Amino acid sequence: MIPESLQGISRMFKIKIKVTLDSGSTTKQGIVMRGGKKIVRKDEYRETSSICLMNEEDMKFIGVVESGNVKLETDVGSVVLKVVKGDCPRGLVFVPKGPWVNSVIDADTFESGSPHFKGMTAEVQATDKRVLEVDELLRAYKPGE
Amino acid sequence: MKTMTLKLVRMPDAGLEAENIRPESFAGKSVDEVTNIELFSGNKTLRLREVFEVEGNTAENAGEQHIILEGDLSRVKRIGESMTCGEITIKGDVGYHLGENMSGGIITVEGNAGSWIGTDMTGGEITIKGNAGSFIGCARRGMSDGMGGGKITVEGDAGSEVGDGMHGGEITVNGNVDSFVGSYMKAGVIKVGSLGSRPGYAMMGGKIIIQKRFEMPFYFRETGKEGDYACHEGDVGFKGKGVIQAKE
Amino acid sequence: MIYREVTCPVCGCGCDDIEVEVEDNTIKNVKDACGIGKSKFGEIGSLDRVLKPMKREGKDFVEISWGEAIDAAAKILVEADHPLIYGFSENSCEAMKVGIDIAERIRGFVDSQSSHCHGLTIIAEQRTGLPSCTLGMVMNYADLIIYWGSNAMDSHPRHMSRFSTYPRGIYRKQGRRDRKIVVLDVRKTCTAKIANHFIQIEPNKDFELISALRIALDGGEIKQEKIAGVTWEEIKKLAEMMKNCEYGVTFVGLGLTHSAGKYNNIDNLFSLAKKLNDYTRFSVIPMRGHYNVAGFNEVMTWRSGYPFAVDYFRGYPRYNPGETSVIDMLARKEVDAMLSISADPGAHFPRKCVERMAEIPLISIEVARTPTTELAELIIPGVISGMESEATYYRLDNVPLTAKKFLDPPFTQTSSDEKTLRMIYNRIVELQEGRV
Repeated sequence: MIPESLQGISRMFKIKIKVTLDSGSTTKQGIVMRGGKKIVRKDEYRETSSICLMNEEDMKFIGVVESGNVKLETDVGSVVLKVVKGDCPRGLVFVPKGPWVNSVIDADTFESGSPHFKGMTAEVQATDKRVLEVDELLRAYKPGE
Repeated sequence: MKTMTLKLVRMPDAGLEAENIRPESFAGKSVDEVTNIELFSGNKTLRLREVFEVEGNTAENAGEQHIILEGDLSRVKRIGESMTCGEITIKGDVGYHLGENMSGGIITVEGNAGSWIGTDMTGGEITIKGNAGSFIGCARRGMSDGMGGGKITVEGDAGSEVGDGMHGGEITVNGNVDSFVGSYMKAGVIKVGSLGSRPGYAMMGGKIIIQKRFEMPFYFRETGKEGDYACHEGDVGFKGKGVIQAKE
Repeated sequence: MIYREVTCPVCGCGCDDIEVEVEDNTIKNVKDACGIGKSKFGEIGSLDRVLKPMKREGKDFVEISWGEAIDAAAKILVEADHPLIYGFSENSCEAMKVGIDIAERIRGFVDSQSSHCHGLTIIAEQRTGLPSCTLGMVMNYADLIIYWGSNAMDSHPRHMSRFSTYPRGIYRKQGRRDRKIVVLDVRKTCTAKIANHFIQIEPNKDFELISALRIALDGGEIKQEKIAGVTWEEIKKLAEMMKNCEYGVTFVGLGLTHSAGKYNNIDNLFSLAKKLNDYTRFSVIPMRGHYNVAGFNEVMTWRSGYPFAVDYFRGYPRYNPGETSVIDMLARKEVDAMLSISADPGAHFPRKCVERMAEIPLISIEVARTPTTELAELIIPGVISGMESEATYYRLDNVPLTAKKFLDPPFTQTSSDEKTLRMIYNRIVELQEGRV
């Protein structure tokens, strides 16, 4: 159990934690995805697909509270997500599938055809940066836009 | 041996498929005819001269033909496919499907090689001086029998999946293999310098030798020692009689 | 007007008991669909709905005519060296057939969502074989249901209520009480919370657990106390449960296909199921995620002999997942033009693939705006298959069914994606023959 006083220190020193990254479907993300609401109703899309489910103790370890933001970083890149308390074991985070998590997922399929959607090693730390909107994410891909 | 040297001068954007680069396609041809040999990039057909600068001689018989390739061939696939005799030397890196379905001859790669090396091989020799990708001496997708004969040597490290469905021949990787060596193996010998995880899945026969200490998976039973090596038999779950030896 | 026995064209359950009330070609009410399904029915009137073909001009899109769009799409595909036709999972078998015809005609390659989802399951199926059954058999016979790496409550919300857990079956007249539900996963999902038994597995260690179960089945012993974070005692108990059931089914999800080991995990599971049939009746059913992704494998196999990731570069079909699959081809930049239909690779592909998609001419045939349409050169309005056009589809247990049409699309230039693809195909033929 990490006392409240230490959580502030974790946050100040931007303590990082090493985790396994799991990504996949959730009902809420599915409702937006299937409903054709990804662009015009981008708030709902962002709210359902740019979240990071994390174990409560892990959250305290890095000094982040529910609905605070975290930076998720892998070898591929990093992305800012909103943290939500989840039934994850310590050392595992779950992010719904979508453009946020995919911006840090490795395309190497190890000759299987399927990329590393589940099981990548990642680092998580508290951040003050904000979560990007879907069009901001996409703008990074289309050069010269 | 008569030697023909091919120097890579232009790599098409989407890679190259070069199954026609093998001694059988060169022997008995004039140099002009060799420059006309078909190579493929996506749905386009190219002539060899559009990609390589050619120098040297062709032999009358394929068994006496040596082909040397120079340049970064890491995106060139299928060299030596279905080769039966002769020699190919690649002075650089090479892409996928090297020596697929090979039954004779010698291929040497001085750099690194991609994945799917020696698939369905029944004879001949492939040597990679650098590192190799995954699927070495394995079966084609959907097939249960893989390499039946011949020899593959990788002096560096390899990825995963070595000797899947192997039923003859020899594979040696001096360096490390990530995972899945000898799955569904029936016969043959695989030697590795070191191994990440999960050897001998559904192994029924054959032998895997690991040149480093290795914690055996629980689906292999300890059977004793042979010199410096601890011996294990499995895959126990499949009542297999495959042998894995690891140096103590 | 009330339409009954309407099919929901979303997840692999293919629920065909939906009731829809339609007035003036808009949906007024949807009964019996789950939250995701209801949302899909709402897509008909989505604010993001694509109503006219559009072409990119700089940062914006301008409207063009259908004729111009079909012509532009055909030209892009004909001129490419490595064109890709991708998607189809939420589309009809009829449209798939035409899409495959296009790939063959332009000598490109064709792939669908299955390549990076349950394609791995199919690879295992090809090597080891799959002992399986239909969802009807599950409902009527199964007394032991295992969800392995599958969070059915979130991915297929009505799966448990329609097929596996709650319905009364011919030999399971007491419904839930006649069944034991076991969940194996790396975290306690909502499916796990309603199971009789939840087994938490260490991430990336499913392979070892399956091998341990195999040994436990034969009454063998191992030295280790725990495998994959599960005690040997628990493993033996699970093996006994599986051995002693009357009719067992494992629903396998992406938790198994996507973690370390990949298709070897599934191969191991299928092999275990085969062995269980020495003791009892045991099946495995992959939890296909889209309503007709299984259909793509059926149609692709019918047309080419291979289930997905097929290239026609040489004029004949070739298959090597990991090489000819969409993720790998995009990551290696071996695609120089792409047509995406009923798919959102812009949202669901890893960064490196999306980077390539942004570099090449991309045609998106879509119902509503998505990250993919926002990256495209050309957007063509999609027709909702199974609602606005009739569709043959294969449910996740590979049973072929028909989804009725009960609405018209909000444009008249096409009546189905099959027809739209047919227009592109015909224009491709004209262009190719014009060159001769």
